[in-house]
Formats: sequence, structure tokens, C-alpha cells
Amino acid sequence: METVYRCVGVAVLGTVLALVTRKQSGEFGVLLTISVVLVISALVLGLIKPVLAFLESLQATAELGDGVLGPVIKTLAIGFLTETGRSIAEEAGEKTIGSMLSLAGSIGALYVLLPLLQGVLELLERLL
Amino acid sequence: MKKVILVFLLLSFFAQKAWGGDISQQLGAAALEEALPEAAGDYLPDMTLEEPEDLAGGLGKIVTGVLAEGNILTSGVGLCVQIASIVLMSAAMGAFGDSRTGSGVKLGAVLAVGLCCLGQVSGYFARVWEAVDSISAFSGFLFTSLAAATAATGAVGTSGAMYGITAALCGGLSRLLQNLFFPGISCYLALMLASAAINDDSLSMVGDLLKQGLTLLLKFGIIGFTAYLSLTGVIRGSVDAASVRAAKLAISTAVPVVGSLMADASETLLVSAGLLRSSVGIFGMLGVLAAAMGPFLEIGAGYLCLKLTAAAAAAAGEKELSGLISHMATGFGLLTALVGVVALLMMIGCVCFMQVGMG
Repeated sequence: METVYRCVGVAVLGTVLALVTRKQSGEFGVLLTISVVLVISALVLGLIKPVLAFLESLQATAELGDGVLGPVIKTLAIGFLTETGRSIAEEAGEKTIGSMLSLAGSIGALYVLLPLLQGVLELLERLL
Repeated sequence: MKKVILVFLLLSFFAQKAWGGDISQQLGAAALEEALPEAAGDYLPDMTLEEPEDLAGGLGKIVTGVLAEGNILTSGVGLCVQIASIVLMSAAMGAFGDSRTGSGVKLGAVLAVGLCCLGQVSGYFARVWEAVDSISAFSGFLFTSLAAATAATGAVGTSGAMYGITAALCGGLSRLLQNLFFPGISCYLALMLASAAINDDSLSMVGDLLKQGLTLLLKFGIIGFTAYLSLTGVIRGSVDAASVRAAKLAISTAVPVVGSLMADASETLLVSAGLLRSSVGIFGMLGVLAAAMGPFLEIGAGYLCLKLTAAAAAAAGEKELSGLISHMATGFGLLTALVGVVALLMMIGCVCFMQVGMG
């Protein structure tokens, strides 16, 4: 809970600073936004570890191989990263870069899911 | 070839009858006992052709034996836990991401569920194939013995007609499974998986059509077989209406997909079951039951587990995954129905031979 309070604090402070500095220097505002995003990400990283540990224990309980759940978790990570990058790019007024990043994220997610897709196809081929 | 075997058995029967030989030897008892499915030997180790178990007692031993093995629920529950974990993770992850991230995670979850279910189906196909193959091989010997015994009572024409249809059934079952039902069920599962992955209902409609086709084929199998036997006049008799109703209710509830139709067809079986006296017939029916019971209960348990998981997934707000799991359960239901229908057809054939034999 403390981490969430810290995140909210950093976000509010960052937003106020960005509003003030953007009028003086737009470039500095973008840098400030990126810094706030990085700080919040670093704070949240501490929360992700226990979640991942729980997912791993769930995976072990269900006797699911890495090949089944790994791609799903990687897809989520790719989604988070590309969404953050896209938001920052759009914030800086670079919508094209943001769109490309989204596309890269979609292709990346598909690439990560390929082993799953391949496994399904192989099984179907064997069944048919 | 089968007709030649039948003629040979009939000739040997009459020849040995004239020499006063033992009836069990005349009917190829050793061959029939050797062809008994392995499962029957495990569950009913003391059963012989001369001294078969009584039908109710034998059935009880088979069910107890299957349950005692303890792996009826293992595969179903294992799959259930795996899918529930995937659903839980998908729900948890979906809560964090936006729509784009969520759709990627959803696709991953759909593929993961599909991978788990198809892996299980592959194992179930092997179980069903093994059971139907052993039932088919055993029934070949059984119906030959029953046909010879029935012909010996004087009903040569009816015996020949029944032997024709039952032999065709035994011969055709394996081919039907390999060329029609297994690919059909696989296609149905693949269509439903693809439909969930790309979120397109038109594919699931094609899948539903395929499922209806397979269900109709199973129903026509039962209707055609019982209609043919009715036309040849071998299905007759009467039994207490209350017990028939109770048994029909139990069957229609227990067997998915074609339960109601199987319940109707089972009346034939129930009507005649009380009349069973022939040791070969009881031996045969218990053999068929023993071979079919394990896969029937195991896949049926898998079906129930998946249905439960689908309900839990819907409660967790994962409607798309719930739909997919439910369709996968339907595939399991089709397999369960397949085993049930094969066993039922064989037992009806068995009972009809005995009715003719008793005049």
C-alpha cells in the first residue's frame, strides 16, 4: 500500500512540475514526464516480484510448463512497455512514433505467442 | 470370410452335437475367453464362460474396479486446475492492461487453454480407440458364437440376418472412428479454438453445424440399428414401467450429447435384460461393459470438470474463455457419447441374439 501512496505522490508532484515547466520549456517537460514514469516503474517493480512468485507457484501447482504460461506473461510485459512508450511519444507530440511503437508491440506479442500457436497446430496436426 | 466362419462353426456344432461334445467347446469357448478385453480380466478375474458373474454383480464389480484404480478423476481434475490457473492469470493480467494489452493476453490465454485441452483430447482418443478396438475384436468372436448358438435353436434365418448386421457393425466401427468421428471432433475443437482466438462467431457456427452432424450420425446409428432389429422381429418383451423410467432417466442424465436418445434405445436392453439366462450372453455383455466403463467414466469426469471450470470462468468475468472451455467440454461429451453408443449397440446386439435363441 505504501508503494501505491509513493507512486501517487510522485505522479502528483511530477504533474504539477510538468505543468509549471512546460510553459517555460516544453523539452524539459517531456524529460520530466519520462523521469516520473521511470521512477513510478521502479517503485512498482518491487510489487511485481511477489505477483510473479505467486504466478510461478500457481504454475507449479497446476503442473503447467513454461511453454504454456511464459508467452502469456511476456505478452503482458510487452503490452505494458509499448503502451508506456506510446504514451510518452504521444505526450511529446510524436504520434507517428507512438503508432509505430504500438505496431511493434503487436508484432512482438504475436512473436512471443508463436510457440503456443505452433504447439496448438502440432497437436491438431497429430489429431487430424 | 465371416460367413465362412459362421458356416464352419455351425457345421462343427452339429458334428460335435452328434458326437455328444461339450457345448462350451463347440462354441469356440477358448477363443472367446482369449478375446475377452484385458480390462474385463482385471475387473472380473474369476469369470469364465462356464461360470460368468451375474449381470448386476458383475456390473458392480466393474464399477468398483474402475473407481478403485483411482485415476478416473485425475486427468479431469488436473486439466481443470491447469485451465483454472490460466483463467485466473488472464483475469488478473487483464485487469492491469488496456484493451490492446488485454487482447494480446486474451489471445495467449485462449491458445494456452486450447493447448491444454487438445493435449488431453489426444490422450482420450487413444483411450477410446483402445476400448473400441478391443470391444470390436471381442464382439466379432462373441457374435459368431451367439449366431451359432442361435442357429442351433432353429432360427437360422433370423440368426443370419442378425449376424450380418452385427458383423458389419463390428467391422465398420474402427473405420468410422478413424475416418469420421476422430477427425470430426478434432475439426470441431479446432474451429471453436480459432473462433475464440480471432473472436469471430461465424467459425463457431460452422463448428456447431459440425457438432450437430456428428450427433445426428450417432443418433442415426442407434435408431438404424434398433429399427433393423425391430424389423427382423427380435426386439420384444415387457418389463416393469417404473424401473424402465428410472433407468432411462439415469442414462439420459449421465450421458452427454446423445443421452436422451440412448435412454430411448436402452429400453430395448432393459426389456430384455431380465430375460438373460445364456452364459455366453452374460459373459459377452460383461466383457463389453468392462472394456467401455473405464474410458466412459474417465472422459465423462473430464467433461464434468470442464463444465465446472467453464462456469467458474464465467463467474470470474472471463466470458470468452468460458465459452471456449464449454465448447471443449462439448468435444469431451461427444467422445463420452461415442463410447456409450458403441457399448450400447454391442449389448443390444447381444441381447437380441439371446432373445432369438430363447424363441
